[in-house]
Formats: sequence, structure tokens, C-alpha cells
Amino acid sequence: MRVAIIGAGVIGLSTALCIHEQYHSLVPSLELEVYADRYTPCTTSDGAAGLWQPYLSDHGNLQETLWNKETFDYLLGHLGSPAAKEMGLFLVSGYNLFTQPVPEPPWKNIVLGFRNLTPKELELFPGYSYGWFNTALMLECRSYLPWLTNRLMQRGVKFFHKKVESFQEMFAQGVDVAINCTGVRAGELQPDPELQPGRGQVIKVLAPWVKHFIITHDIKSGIYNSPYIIPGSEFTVLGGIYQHGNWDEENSAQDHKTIWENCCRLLPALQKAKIVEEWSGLRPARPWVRLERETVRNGHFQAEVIHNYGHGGFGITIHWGCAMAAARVFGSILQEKKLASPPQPRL
Amino acid sequence: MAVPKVAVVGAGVIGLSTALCITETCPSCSVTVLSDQFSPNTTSDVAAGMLIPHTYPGTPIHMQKQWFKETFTYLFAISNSAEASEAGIHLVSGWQVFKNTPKEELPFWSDVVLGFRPMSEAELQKFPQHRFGQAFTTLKCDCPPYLLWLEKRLKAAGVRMYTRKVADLWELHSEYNIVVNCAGFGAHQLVGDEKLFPIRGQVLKVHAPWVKNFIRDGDGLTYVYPGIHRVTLGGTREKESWSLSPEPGTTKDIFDRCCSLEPSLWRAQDIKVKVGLRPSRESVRLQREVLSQGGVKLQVVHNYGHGAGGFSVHRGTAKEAAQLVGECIAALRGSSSRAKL
Repeated sequence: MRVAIIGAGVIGLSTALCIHEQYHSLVPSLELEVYADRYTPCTTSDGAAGLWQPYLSDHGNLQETLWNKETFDYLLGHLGSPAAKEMGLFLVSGYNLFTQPVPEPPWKNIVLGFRNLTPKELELFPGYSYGWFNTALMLECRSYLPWLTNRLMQRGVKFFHKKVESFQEMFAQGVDVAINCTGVRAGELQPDPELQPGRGQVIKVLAPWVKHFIITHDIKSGIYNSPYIIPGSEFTVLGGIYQHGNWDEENSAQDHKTIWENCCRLLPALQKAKIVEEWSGLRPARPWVRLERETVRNGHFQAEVIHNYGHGGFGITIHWGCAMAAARVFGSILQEKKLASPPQPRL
Repeated sequence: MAVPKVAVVGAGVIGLSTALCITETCPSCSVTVLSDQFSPNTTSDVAAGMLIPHTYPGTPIHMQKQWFKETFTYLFAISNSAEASEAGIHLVSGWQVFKNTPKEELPFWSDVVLGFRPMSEAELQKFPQHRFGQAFTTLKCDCPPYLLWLEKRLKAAGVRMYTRKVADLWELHSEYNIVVNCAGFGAHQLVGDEKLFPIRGQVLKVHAPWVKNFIRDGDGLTYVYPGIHRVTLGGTREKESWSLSPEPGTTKDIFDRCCSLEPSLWRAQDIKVKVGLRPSRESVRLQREVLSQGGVKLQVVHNYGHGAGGFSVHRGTAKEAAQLVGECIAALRGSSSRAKL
């Protein structure tokens, strides 16, 4: 049973690991292969700061909130393990700021210590009159993706540096199941008008005195179009750009100016921070995540595709829940092919 | 006495902040700092500089709270300005955890720090050996940056600083009108204060930049305080030990205790060990004294004995000391027949 995972960002690699962990002992013939034209540190995931935080509302997508929770709990469980540092996983606390009161988010009980900001705390942020404080997690992909890669290689998963042009190409090679984790470029494999780039740009600085994340929100401009500051293990990420429909992966001087001025206004101490890097990436934005099975038929030839893309600006936040869901879909495919006994109960 | 000449003995956080306050309240004063040690070799440089007050049994609580509040407000403003990184001041959030529920649920300073509240069940799960906890946000003063920043501001205000070991306050009476004694632990020898005793503290300063939250065991013995470049792991409270040499057995013990609070510390790198002697006293000695010898008087203001709480109250006690200096000046001007130049 040959399974090809297409895409090696956080979604592709975690899905591969999840499937291998759950099924390799049940299916002796299981062969997993990863195909991608971009690997860490050149994936979209690598550019993200790595903060676990969903959008303010799930728009009724309870499923996504559950996947977010599953991811948070999974990561929290790994915090105390020796692997945490290698994974790039650690706790971080911080602020979400608003110019007016807003409803509590669906994730308020998932994170730790969620509460409203006190008036004294709001004094720190002139112009913002309402906000939240909570403790969440950071998962830095420039550590996490290599960690996932090592786990996969240890398990004998093979990696190919290749741009897959079509699902047919995989099936013609003898792949039985293709897992589509191609993120923003999924449309190249199968047109999807719902999938659009949500272009972001970030400035990485040296500001080790910043210990909290600060995320501002402007309800009118929309998510991530308002300044944010996220402290990593080495650098602090400054951002606040979200351009729907913009495919440009080049850094924009105008966006740089916007980010820099807004973030320095938010945290004056940043004026002394040294700029280390600038990066742009395309969030794979979709009204909801596409996580579903598709059977491809061609005469009596039948192959399966499991789609797992469209995670927008919350890929890291939701990745493990989606990987587990994709693994369940895989399990049902195996069951149909009578290659495995009923799926293991969810742990 | 046209220009009052003030000598501040001691260049730790107390000496430097007191000198700065004096220049603020008495711009016409000439202020000089004298110390045998300057940063990075003061006791202050060893401290993590966390604004979590120590309770002095001999000082009224309302006074301690006032000192803390003034210090917190002062540093809060700096942390929110462009100078924050140079001054080494930054906000940090975290948890104080207790194995047994503390006698007082609300410490006196709970409404001065930010967002103080009991920890939730979910948060406590991270600390399986602890049954109760408090979460809050406070400030940290990284040393040496803070002392260096104070020195810079002092120089800009025209304050001179000299390396000099003062063995006796009387040495200074011919050059200075007022002596401010911020000698910290040095006051033991300098003024023979038997009530001052050392509490030895050993700490580790490690590279673990992924640690963003502080953790403190309510017993005050074990703590993890993330600073700008290093995380301070502590500690010890050894009474009557005068040794400034690191103890390897103690290092291992501190490291083990901190790792049980924060397991990721096992991966910490580049461990540096430091030792400081907290200048401990039942109460901070913050008072005027007029010394007399052979008909000559010397105006003294004492500001020492801050023990484990120096950073937490430094600005508050510095301001009070500066006020006492003002009283000394008034006294000197009042006794015009004894005016000294």
C-alpha cells in the first residue's frame, strides 16, 4: 500500500507522521513517501511565528474548534517531554487588544488562564480599550519541521524533492492513496475557487526583552491586518499584513513601513531592536478547511485522494487535529480495502 | 553652604538610585558616588531583579507597600518607553506555586502587580507537586543593564563616581556635608551594624531563551526568572554564610529543583554560577543620623539592609532617602554658625 503525501509544510509532515504512527504496524505493506518542491526552511509554515491561536470566531465551524483543541492538548502534553526544545515548543503568555468590547472567543477555555485585561494593563496600550490575557503555546516550525522530518526518516519514510504536477502522475506510478497537503497551491492540482492566498509579511528582529505576544485587532480591517508582536526563542516577529488574493511573495517596502511603524507605536522599546530578516508568505485561505476524501475513478482503476489544505493563518494551531482526522479517513479507506481491522479507538 | 556636597557610599541598585533621586529633588546639590565595587561586581548584579517584594518583619506593611508601589510605577513607565531595552526593564508574566496553601491568600502587593489572580486547575496541572498558585504579571530589572543605565543618567546629571573603599564615614567629613550610606552588606563593617546579617544566595544564569514565563515556588527557595539574555535559576537562603565562592553541590541542587518546576531547563546551556550576600535586616535602615566626634558633626542618611527585596523597593526607599537628605540640608542651613563649605 503506497501512500504519497504531497506537501512538506506542517500539514504534510504531521499528517505523514500521524498515519505512520497509527497504521504501520497494522499494515505491513505500508509505504509512505513525501513529495514536495519546497522543504523546511522554505515552506509557508517556516515563516510563521508559530503562535497557537485560532481566529476570533470559528463562524460556526465547531469541527475546526475541536481540531484546534486537539492540537493544543496534544502539544501541551509534550511540553514536559525531553523533545520539547527540539520541537521548538514552549509556553508563552500575552495580550489580545481591541478598540471595543468583543465576544469571548471559542478557544477561551482551550488556552490557559484566559481573562479580560485590567484597566492598569490597558494603560500599556493607548488606543485600545479592551483585551484579553492568556497563556498559549509557541511551536516554531524551523525546529518542528526538522523534528518531524527526523521522526519520519527514522520510520523509513522516503522523501522526494519533486513538484507533483497531477494526482494522475502519482497514481500512474503505483501510488494507492495521495494525501493532498499542498497548501496555497492546491489549486494547481485541482482548481478550487474557494482557496485564495492571504499574503502576509513579517519582520524578524532581535528584541529578547519582549516576553509576551501582543496581537491587536481592528474589526474593520480583518484578521492579521493590525500590528502583532510575537516573541520567539531567538527572534521576535513583527507583523500585521493580510492581503486577500495577493500572490506576490516578494517583500514590499510599503508593508515593511506599515509593520515597523505600527509595531514601534505599540511597543516603543522596539525602536532599538535590530532587524534581522524580512519574509513574505501566502496563507492558504479558505472559508473552511478542506479535509475530505475523494475517490478518483478511471475505468476499473480507483485511487483515493485525502485532501487536507486551506488552513489559512491557523495551520500550526489546527495541524494535529487535522492530521488525526486525515488519519481516520485513511483508516476507513484501509477498512474498505480490508487491509486493516476497525480503526483504533481515539486516544 | 552654597552647594551642599553629598557623598553616596555604595554603587549597587540602592546607592545609584538614591544618588539619582537626590539629583532630582536637590538639583543644586553636588553628588558623588563612592564605592569599592561597581557593576558588574555588586551584589545587585547577582540578583534577578524581579519585582516581587520581600516582607520585612520590622517595617510597617503600609510603608513597604508604598515603596513597592513607587518602584513599580517608576519602572512601569520606563518599560513602556523607548529606553526599556537599554535600562533592562521588561514585563514578565508567570506563576507563584505553593505545595501547601499559604497562610495569607493575598499578599500585600497583589494589587500593585498586574492581573493578580489564583491559578486555574488547568494551569496547576503543569505543577503536579503543587496544590495552589497565583498568576500575575510583574517587572524585571535586568542587571547589569539597569545599573549601567543608572550610571549613565548620573553622569548626565553631573554626578561623579569613584572607586574608593570607605573604611569609616568620618573619612568623608572634610570633603562632604552629607553622607548617604547605601553600603548594603558593607554597612556591617562601615557602621558596625550588628543587626545586619548575610543571607547567602547562589544562583545560576543559563541560556534558555524559550523560557518566557517566570515560576516561583512560594517558599522563595526555588525560582526560574527569564531575563533579557539569560534565565536566573535559584536559589539558596543560607544564613550566616559569608562565602562568595560557588558550591558545586549547591549548583546541582538548584538545577534539579528548577528542572522539576520547568523540565525544559534540562536543555539549558552555558550555565554560569553566581553568589551574592543579601544584606539582610529585620527592617530596612532608612533614617537620618547625626554623628558627633570631638565637637564635629556629620549628617548621615542610612539606606541599607534591603535583604532579598532591594530591587522591589529601591526607588521608594531612594526617594525617602533623598527627602531625608533634604532634611539634612535644612538642618545644616539652620545652624548657620556651623555652615561648612
